[in-house]
Amino acid sequence: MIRTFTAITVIAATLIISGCQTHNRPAPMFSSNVSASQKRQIDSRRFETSDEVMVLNAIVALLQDTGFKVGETDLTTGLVSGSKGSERGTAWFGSNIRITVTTTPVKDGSIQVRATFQDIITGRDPRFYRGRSSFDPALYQNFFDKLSQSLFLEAHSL
Amino acid sequence: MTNKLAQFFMLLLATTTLAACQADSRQQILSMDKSQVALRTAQSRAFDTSDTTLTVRTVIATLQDLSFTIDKVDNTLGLVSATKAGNSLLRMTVTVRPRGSHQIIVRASAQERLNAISDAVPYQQFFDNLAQALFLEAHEII
Repeated sequence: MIRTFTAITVIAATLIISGCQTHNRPAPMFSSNVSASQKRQIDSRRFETSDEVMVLNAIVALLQDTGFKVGETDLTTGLVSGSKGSERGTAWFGSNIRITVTTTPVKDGSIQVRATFQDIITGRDPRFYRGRSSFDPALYQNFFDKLSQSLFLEAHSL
Repeated sequence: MTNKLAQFFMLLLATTTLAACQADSRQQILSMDKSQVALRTAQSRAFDTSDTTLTVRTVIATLQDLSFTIDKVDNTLGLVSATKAGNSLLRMTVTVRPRGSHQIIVRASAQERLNAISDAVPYQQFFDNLAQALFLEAHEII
């Protein structure tokens, strides 16, 4: 009998102590295991033009070509963000690919373009979203090849 | 008799356990686990520059270094919102505001799985990355 009481008390105490725990551990997501310079080598390219607006237009056109919905653009900071796939809350599980492309004028008169991809598994509850960042150099190579083409078409008003 | 007593105690403990964590979610909307001053100190750094646009651009580049995608940018207000999904969803809002004519205050606030992050360590990591990208030293504001 005493053993039963002890067991119940131990279980209850464990539940009481662990039940109210709020997690506030440092997020490891603010650091990266790939150095910034390594990352920039993969996800950035320079284009020999000084016309930032033309480059941003070519990026928007490329996102339209590849089926992205453009959600945010900012000329002052040189930014275009878009997404494609299922939106939040439309299905139990879905996939949402997000992209951010930025342009930076470089002192030598060229424009540096940088892209960031994220592949997110979405669902009805944002607490259970999962995702990963794409570091595949082939993906970035493909993106910048298409962007070169888009810039050519943009320059020839096609 | 002993069985009934055991059942009674189990019921009592279960009730206590379940009731202890009960909280009205509406009361949690504005809840904070740190004082506003402590939170702002952890989340803010001052940089010796007056170029707001360059700072906003560098904040975006730093967020890209950390694999965030940018949801919203407002250069007039100096605001950048970004999201990153790993094992959970992490949302960041960064504001860039001038202090006087020679300094800029950058404040970052983040939430993970819909919980606000108030711990100072992640913000320190973020500002270390930002300071490297800006080539400037990050000063504590208080």
